[in-house]
Order: sequence, then C-alpha cells, then structure tokens
Amino acid sequence: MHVEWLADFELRHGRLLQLLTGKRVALAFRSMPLLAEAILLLDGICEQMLLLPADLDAATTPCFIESSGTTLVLTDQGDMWPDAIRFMQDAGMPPQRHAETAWLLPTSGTTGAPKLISHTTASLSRSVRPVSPGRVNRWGLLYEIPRFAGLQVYLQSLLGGGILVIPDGVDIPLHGQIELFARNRVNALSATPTLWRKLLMTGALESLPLTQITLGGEIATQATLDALAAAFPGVRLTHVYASTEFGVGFSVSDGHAGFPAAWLNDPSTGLTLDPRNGELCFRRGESLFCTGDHVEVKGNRAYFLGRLNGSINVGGNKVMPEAVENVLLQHSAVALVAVSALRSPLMGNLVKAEIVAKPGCTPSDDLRRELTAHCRARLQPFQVPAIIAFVEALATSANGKIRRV
Amino acid sequence: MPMSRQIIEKLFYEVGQLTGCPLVSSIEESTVLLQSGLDSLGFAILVARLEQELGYDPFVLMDTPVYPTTFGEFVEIYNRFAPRT
Repeated sequence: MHVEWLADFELRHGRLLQLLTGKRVALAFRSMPLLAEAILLLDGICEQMLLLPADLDAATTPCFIESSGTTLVLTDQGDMWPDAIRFMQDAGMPPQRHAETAWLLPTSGTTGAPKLISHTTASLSRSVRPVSPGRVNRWGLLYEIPRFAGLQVYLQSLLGGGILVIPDGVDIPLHGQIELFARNRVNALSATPTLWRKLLMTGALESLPLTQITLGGEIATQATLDALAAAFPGVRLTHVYASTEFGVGFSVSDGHAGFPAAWLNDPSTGLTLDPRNGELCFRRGESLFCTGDHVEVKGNRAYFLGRLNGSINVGGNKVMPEAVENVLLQHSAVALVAVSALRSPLMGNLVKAEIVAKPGCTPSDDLRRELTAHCRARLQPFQVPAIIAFVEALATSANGKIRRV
Repeated sequence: MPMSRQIIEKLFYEVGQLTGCPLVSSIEESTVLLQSGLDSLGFAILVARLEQELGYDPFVLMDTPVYPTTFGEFVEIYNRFAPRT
C-alpha cells in the first residue's frame, strides 16, 4: 500500500478540503481543540478518518496506517510528521457534506492487541442522549478524542448541545485539568469508576458544580455510585455500558448498579443472556452480538460480574492473563504460573500471580522483588502483578489447562 | 496503633520503589496522598499488600465508602477497621 507523503505546507481550509475530499486520512494531533475542529471539518468530506491517539506506540501507528489504506496524514505536529499536511486554524465556512465518512478508532479488543474498529457517525451517535430542555451541559474532556471515552463526550457535547471544555497541552496533570474545568464551570463529567474514586480522594471535585456524572468503561459498583450521590446530592448519576467493538450500549440513570432485569428479552432493547454461560448478547435485526461479558440476574436486577474470557480489567485497562504469564515464564526461577484477577476497591481489579518456583529456587522477598522488576521491564504498569504468591502446586482443569481462580 | 503506621510507611516506600514512582523524601500525617508520588495504581497495590501483611482491607470492610486525602487519614482508617484481637 503506497502512502502519499506531501511536502510540509500549510493549507487554508478551502484548499485542504479540495485535497482531502474522498480520501482516507489519518489524524495525528496533540492538541485536542484542533482535533475537535479538524473532525468537524472533515466528517462528510473524507471517505475515512483514522483517529490516532497521542499515546499509541510508535510501532503500531504505521501498521494502522497501512491496514486502513490511509493515503494522507493530517497533523498539528510538523516536526513529528515532516511529510504530512499541517492543519491550520481558520474561521472559514462549514463545507457541504459529500459522503458518509468512516471513522476508525484503535481499541484494545478482546485479544488485548490494539486493532482498528470502523464506525460511522450514525453508529457512534447512537449513544448520544437528548438533553432536557433548558439544560446546558458544560462537559469537561478528560480523555483524548481518539479514545472511545473521549469521543463519546465529544459527540455528546456536539450532538446533544452544550459546551465542551478541552484541556490543551501535553500530559496536563489531573488537578490542572480539574482546575480548568472549575474555572469554566464544568457541570458534566464522564470518567471510569476508577478515575471517579481517585477524584473523590483528591477532594478536587468540590470545586465543580456537577449536575451530571457519567461512569463508563468498567463495572460501576454500588459503593462508588453511593459515594458520588452523597458527594453531589441531586446529581444525575448515569453509568453506561458500551462495547467499543459493536458501537452499542445503554445507560442506566436510576442510581443502582447493573440494570433492570426486565430489559433482558425485551424486544425493544435487544438484550439477552446466553443461558449456558450468562453471556450478555445484543440482538440487532438478524444478527446476534455476543459481548463476552458475564451478567447475573438477582431478583429484578441484572449485574455485571466481569469478562467471561478472563481478561482482567485494571482501572479500565484490559490485561490478558496469558500475556503476563508468558513474561513470568521467561524468568529462570519460574516453573509454573497462573495469573488471575485480585479484586481491588480502588482499581476494580489488580493482577495477581501464583508461582511455583523451580526446584533449587527458594521463594523469598528478594525473588519477589526480582520477578516484579522483571515484569516492569517488559509490561505496562497495570499489567505488573500487584501480588506474587509462591505456591506448591497450581490447580489444573480436566484437560490439563491451568485453572485460574 | 503505632505498629500499623510503621508497616504502612514501610510498604509505602517499597511499593513506590517497585512501581518506579519517585516518592517524597519524608511522609507526614498531613502529606496529601495523591501528591506523595504514588499514583492511583500504586495506591491500589499498597492496599493489596497491606491486606496481605495485616490480614484486612478497610476499604472492603467499610459500609459507607470513605476516601482518605492525607497519610494521617489513611493510617487512621486502618486503625479504625483493625480487627479486634
């Protein structure tokens, strides 16, 4: 696949649109306000937009550019992309829409390796809620727009009406973002339950006149919902369930964890449970989408229990146990290892490793430290086991596979 | 109980070292937890290690969730929920 690299020059919007109409474009932006503007400009013009998060690793980006058939890169960082087109702010006229632009977003997917998911504005805005008359939502953007969590807020503010406050800069600390939100009277915020628990710890939330709190990306526990309701009496408390792969989801605003059991097998929701394993599935027309999430019904409520395939959700980050096991097995002292989830009131889950040491290797605090350092050198911080336990043997299932607890 | 404060402080520095977080040089009652250098993942790990060491997790035991802001409040929560022996 041949990618056309244009010489670095600055274009006014009109010229830019001529160049990009019908093309497959990648957007590589550091500045979220500029990206917000570029997306508005290019939707309906380009055939396809690949949104590249700033924190995507250098090896993955060329793969995505190639596999998506991208032929042009638009950026606000001339030095990082010397052959791309530089985007300039310009208060021009909004263009005519020509096409239904495909939006490509990286997602961690069910295998843990990043992959691209294609959406349209229709599929993405399915989750946008209409806003009550007279209400003006002033949203704060806590995540990058190319990440699903950020994109949802971006679309909600654009399509649902309201104001979006976007921190502009690289690696702004959380308290700096909250201060910006407070100065701009942000009254609506969406974050993972883990980030909400952290925000509650900082005490910084007191400065925000929040009337809308949205939780997503992880299971919203009753304890967290109660803590937020207590901190903001009268707030509208919403937790959303969304599958980034299928672009589907629903939101719950009754202040309780899980969702009403009555939604299952209701034709208007399309939600069903697979009776064999409790997997939550969506029926849309003829197709059945299976989410991989485990749901249990207790009384008139359905609760999320976690991922069926054993992936561990650490503060919103998916960890595949096998990936961590493979790293630990590379260490000379490790004979067998089973990695599993450890429940954490702060992060939702942490990673736990049970290790059978090789004969001749003595389990000790020093070995534990060494194994942790070994993992730190090869894995992301949230993948590194928080607890390492040395055991005599590991439970295996009937077919000889490691049984993870 | 002075014992748990020492244990908490010792594990605090150990987790900081293990996670590679640069920590403040001395930790006081008034040190704000999220400015101590340990990030939220580090805190979660500290709480997990403390459960391994002390045998209980106060954040699981509490009925109404309480979120400590300072190190002093953090230690106080551990004292408050310490199992009666």
